[in-house]
Amino acid sequence: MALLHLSGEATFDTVRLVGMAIRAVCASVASGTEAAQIELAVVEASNNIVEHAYRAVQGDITLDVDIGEKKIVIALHDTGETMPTASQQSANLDFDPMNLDDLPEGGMGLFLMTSIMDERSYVSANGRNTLTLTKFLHGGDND
Amino acid sequence: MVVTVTEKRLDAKIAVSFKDEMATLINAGETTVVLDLSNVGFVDSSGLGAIVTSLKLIGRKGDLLVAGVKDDVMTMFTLTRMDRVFQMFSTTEDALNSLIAK
Repeated sequence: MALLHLSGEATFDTVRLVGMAIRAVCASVASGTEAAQIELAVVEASNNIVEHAYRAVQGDITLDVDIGEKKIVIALHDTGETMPTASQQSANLDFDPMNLDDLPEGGMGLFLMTSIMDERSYVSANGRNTLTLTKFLHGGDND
Repeated sequence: MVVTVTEKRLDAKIAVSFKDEMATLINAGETTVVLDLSNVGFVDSSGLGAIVTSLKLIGRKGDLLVAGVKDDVMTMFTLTRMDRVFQMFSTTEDALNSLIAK
């Protein structure tokens, strides 16, 4: 088990660094494809924090990354606005590929997070929001 | 025309400026576009959304073909089923050849 703590100002530049770091450490225990997918899920979650948690104010995004042989658990913390429970985003992504007008231009983040990660939970307490994402790893002798 | 994205990450940081640049090209009359993503190692939903916005802007006037998508980036297209929306080619050459054949 290895624990990594990442922290930075909630900006898209920080999200880039977070994404690259997550991908690199995940690649040590997961496949390249899995690591890339986890990077995507974490970037989507981080983008939400940058875009929605802090509007007029600055704030930090912090991550606790728990890398294990059987699973990876990533907790994202912020001290900004809580994500609304009836989120603008849907966990579904249904559209008619043949219908140009029907194609989504945004709001795909939650769908991607739930498609890629195996577990997701969100808690808000004492002014701090925490999104926890878990991916169970396959491969090796673990199956 | 072939539009080559030189950025390695087509993500939230650059999605808006990408959209704006594509809009400038499309509004200037470039309505058949081959988007070369061979340099791109990461696309998030903002980046994908910007590509979709560009496709919608072209509308019936032309088409937007996608070329050179790396394996990890392809996951984004298949997970969202956007690979059913865009014609996707391994290389820009293949994409351009498909246009000639029409």
